[in-house]
Parts: sequence; structure tokens; C-alpha cells
Amino acid sequence: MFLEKFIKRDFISFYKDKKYFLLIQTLKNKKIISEERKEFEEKKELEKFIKEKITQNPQTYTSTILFTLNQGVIESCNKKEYLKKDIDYENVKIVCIDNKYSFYASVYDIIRLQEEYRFEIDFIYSVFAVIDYLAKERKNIIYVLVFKSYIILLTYENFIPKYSDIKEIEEKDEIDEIEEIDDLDLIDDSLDSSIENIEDIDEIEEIENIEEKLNNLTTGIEVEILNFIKTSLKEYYKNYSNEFIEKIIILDTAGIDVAITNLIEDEILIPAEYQNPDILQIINRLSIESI
Amino acid sequence: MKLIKKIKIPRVYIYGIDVIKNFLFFTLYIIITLITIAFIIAPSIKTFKKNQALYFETKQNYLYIKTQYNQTLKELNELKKQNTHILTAFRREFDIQNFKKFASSFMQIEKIKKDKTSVYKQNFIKTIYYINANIKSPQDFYNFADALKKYKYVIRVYFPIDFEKNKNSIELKLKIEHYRLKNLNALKAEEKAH
Amino acid sequence: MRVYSFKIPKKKPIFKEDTKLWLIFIAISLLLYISFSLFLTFKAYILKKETKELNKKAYELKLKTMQLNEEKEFIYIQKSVFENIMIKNDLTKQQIKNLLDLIPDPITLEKFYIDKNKLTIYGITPTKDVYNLLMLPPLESIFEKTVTTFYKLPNGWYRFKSQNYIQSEENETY
Repeated sequence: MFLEKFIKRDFISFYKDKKYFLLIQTLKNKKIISEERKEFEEKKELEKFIKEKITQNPQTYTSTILFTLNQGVIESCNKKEYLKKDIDYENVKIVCIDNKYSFYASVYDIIRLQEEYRFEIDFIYSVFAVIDYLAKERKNIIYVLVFKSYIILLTYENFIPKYSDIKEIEEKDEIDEIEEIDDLDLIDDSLDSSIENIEDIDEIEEIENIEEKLNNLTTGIEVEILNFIKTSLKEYYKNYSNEFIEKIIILDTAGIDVAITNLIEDEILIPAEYQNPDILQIINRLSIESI
Repeated sequence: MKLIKKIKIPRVYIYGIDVIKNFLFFTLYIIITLITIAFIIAPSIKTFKKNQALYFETKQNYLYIKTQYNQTLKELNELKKQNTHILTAFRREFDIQNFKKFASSFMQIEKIKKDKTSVYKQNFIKTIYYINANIKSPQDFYNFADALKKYKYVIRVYFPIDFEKNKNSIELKLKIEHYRLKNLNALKAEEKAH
Repeated sequence: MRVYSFKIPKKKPIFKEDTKLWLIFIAISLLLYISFSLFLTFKAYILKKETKELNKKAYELKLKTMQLNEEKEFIYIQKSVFENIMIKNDLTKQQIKNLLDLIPDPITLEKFYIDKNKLTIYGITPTKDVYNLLMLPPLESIFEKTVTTFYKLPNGWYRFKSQNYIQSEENETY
């Protein structure tokens, strides 16, 4: 309609990754005229904010991504493939792309996601769909999307995604953390005093141990990622493909060290790249392009 | 890049109703109503009233003319009623036999000769007849003349009148003029139209 | 435009509920105003048409009234003509009667010719004197010119022919 030029639309994308992250973009005539980012600790705050936006503008579209483990990618849209992979075809929702491959997720998960929020969610995307949108290189490449609570892995062979996997990251023990903080204080004190007490070998050993523990603190997630990649590769070479992976791209949203590429290159001997995508923006882009 | 200053209108909600927006819409409604009344409704009311006044005036005029017409018609019919004798008399064609019959009570007609016909006073036709008759006495003639008043034709008795005394009767020669309306057929048609 | 979403959103309204209500309300009001205005205009048009109709009828009636008046006039004319003729008849009769009554007993008429302005009497009188004394004066008083001629009869009486003339003021067309 000719009115399209004058209609203001709000696109809200959000997801929960320990906290609630939200991006709201206002579009007029296909151009973004304003945007706002917010973080909420409580779901109630998020709901209140979104409901208010919906009452203010009926043309508001909310989108989010599904983080459940019962989702993935199949390299075809046929029922046969689904049955081959032992997926309950009747209870999954399927999105077919270019008639070449498809994303699926459990219908119950989708329903549960909608029931979780007291407003209507207009677009629900598979996490893999986000990666698929980002993926520029599609030949023998692994994409690893890192959140604070999840690691998502998608492998491409010959322009089609072949292997998908999600891992939920467990919570670290609090007790260890508190101890380590105490240790940090100790280090400061002991370092000062260590200069005078050279003979105190036990203390130095203690320090070395503490330093190791420190290293473990910052490289906990990286190790998990590394191990996840390793296991996935194994599975991939065993059951999915004979082609060698030529590149690994890390898509980071959790704020990990860029040095992870070195770690991967050292450990797995595959060139790695680091990218820092704006997930919320991508989710909104997906929705905007759907209208 | 242009700096567009955005006027920030506060959103006031009372019992979940956006007060300012509703107030603005209300004002808009009032404005629209007033403008429509001023520019659309008022003129049509004016036109209507004007036409209505004109109509009533015309109607009054018409009714007046109608009463006049009815009045005139009544008068005309009255006139016709009162003067039927005269009006019918003028419409009769002269029938010699009838005249003979009429005159026979006063005189014995020997001969009636039709003379000329002429137009009289634009609307009438006068026909002259010469009569040769016998009467017993002049009184018959006088009676005859009187009787013409009631006679169904319009007859004028005129000079020359000759009285000639015979053995037992008086020979009378006179001229009569018969009058009737011209254009009888047209008149008859007009009458039918009424 | 690839569709990645598991869910297709339902249609979103462009206007909020209350905006829609106001717009509908305003639209209906406008419709009512305009239809009212149209109604009035229509009525005004009908009135104009009827006014024209009435004017036409009034004019026609006026013409008819004039016609009626003409008819009335004509009736009056007929009436006057008739009465005129009756009067003339009476007049004629009276004239003749007067003249015939004039004639004294001794005189007997033989012929009596009366015209517009001439009267010719043929009669018999015992003596000239009777005629001159009894008939002539009245005749002279009525007529302008009297010419009498006598003819002596074998029995001593006289046959007279009296020609009397009067100046005619009347014209043929009365």
C-alpha cells in the first residue's frame, strides 16, 4: 500500500543469556530511525518494557532465538532424511531454506517458549538460523557461536550445513571463586614479603599453584569450547563427512579472549578466525526482511 | 545531517486511557464538525429555506389564482344558466318549417323567401327572409311581434312591412331577420372542451 | 527474502484500537453530516421543481380565467344583441300600432306600406275633410313631409294616397 512509507514499525529482538538482552529498532520507510539497547535482570522488567512498547505502537514485532538442545539442521527438506536421523518428524517444526536444507526444533519447545513470556512473540528463530545468516564462507568450515551459557556449533560442507550441535555451559562452583579471590589478596601480600623471604620455598610453590589456578579461571570457557570442537570434529569425520575442515570461525558474544584463535590453531591445527557479531541486530534483520 | 528537533509530547495515561491523544481527537472532531456545519450544512440549510419560502409564496399565488378561476367559472356558469334561452336561440339554424308552425297561430304563411346572409357585428350571421302571409287583423301582427320574444329563434321583424286588405283577410308582407352565432361548429367544439 | 522463523506473526493493525474508534466515529459523523446536507439539497431541489410546476399551473389557470372572462363578455354581448333586437321588435310593433291607431273610424285602409323612412297609406275616406282634419295633423306631427293625393270615387267618397317621409337618423347596422 502507499501508506507503507509512513508506517512506523518497531522491531524488538531479545534473548536470555544469564541476563535479558534487548534491542529495539524503529523503522520508517525501510530505514532505521532510532534504536535502543537494554539489559534486564528480571523477566518482569523485560515483559513490562515490551508490553509498554506494544501498546504504544501496534506495529511492533518481537523476535527471539531458541536455545533448546532439541534443535538442529538437516541437509534436506525431505521427511526421509528426518526419519533417517531418527528425528520425530511429527513433533518438530521445520523451516526449509532454498529447498536445499532445513532447520528444525521441537514443537513443544516452541510452545513452551511462547508460554514463558506474557506478550506475543512474533518471530522465533533457531540459533542455527542466525549462524546461517552470518555465514559467508560455506565450504568445509565450522562456525562456533559462543554465548555465556551456550556454545553452538554448525559445520558447512559444499554450501550446505551438515552438522549441528549445542552445548550448555555449566555453572562454575562459587566456593572456588571466593577462594581464588582470597588467594589474589594473598599473592599481593606474599609477593611483597617474598622478596625478603627467599628461603620460603613452600610459599613460592603456593604462589605457582595459585598462578595456575588463575590461568584456569580465564581459560575455563575457552577450554570448553576447544573440547567441544574436538568432540564435534570427531563425530563429524566419523559419521558425516570425509572432507577436512579448512577453517573455524568463532562468533563471540560473551566477551572471550581473541587469543582463542591461537589456542585452536595450536591445539587442532586448523586456521581460526574471530568475529564479534551483533546477535540482536541480526535477529532484527531476519525479522525486518520477513516483512 | 539535519538536526530535526523532536517535540516530546508527554504520554499521560489515566485508567489506561491515553488522555492527550483522546483529547486531541476530540478537538479534531469538534473542529471537523464545526467546519462541516459552517461550509456544508449551513449553506444547504440556507438554500433549502430560500427554496421553501419561494415555494410557499408561489403556492399562495397559485391558490389565489385558483380561487379567482373558480369564481369566474361559477359566474360564467351562472350567466349561462340565466341566459340559456338567449344562448340557445343564437345557436339555432333557421328551420322554415318550424317558423311556419310558429307563425301559423298568428298568420297563414303563403311564401317564405330566403334573401341574403351577412355578417352582423363580427360574431353573428344575419339572414333575411321575406314573408308573404295572411292575417285576420293587425292584432295578429302585434301578437306575432310579441310572441317573437319567447320564440326559440332570434328573429327581428323589420321594414318594409306591407299590409294589403283583401276580401276576408289582410295580406301581410314583411321582412324578418334571423340572427345566429357565426362559427357554430367551432363554438360547439369549445363547449365540449369545457 | 528467506523465511527463517519458526513462527509467522499474525497481521498487525496499523492503528491502535482507540485510534480506530475515533477514526470510525469521525468518519460516520462526516457521513451523517454529508448525507444530511445531501438530503436538504435534494429537498431544496424538489421544492424548486414544484415551485416551477406551480408557476406553470398558475400561468395556465390565469390564461383559462382570461378565456372564461372572454366567454362571459361574449355572453353579455349576446345578451345585449338579443335585447336590442327585442326592443327593436317592440319599437317596430309600437310604431305600426301607433300609426294604425291613428286612423279614425270613418277612414278605412286598403293598403299600408311602411318602410324605414317612408309610409304609404292607401285608403278610403268619406270626405276630404275627414282626412284632413282627423288624419293629416297627426301624420304631419310625426312625419316631416306628407303628400296626399285624392282620387274621387264614383260613390262620392275619396280614395287617398298618403305618402309620408321621415328623415332617417338610423343606420342599417343597429
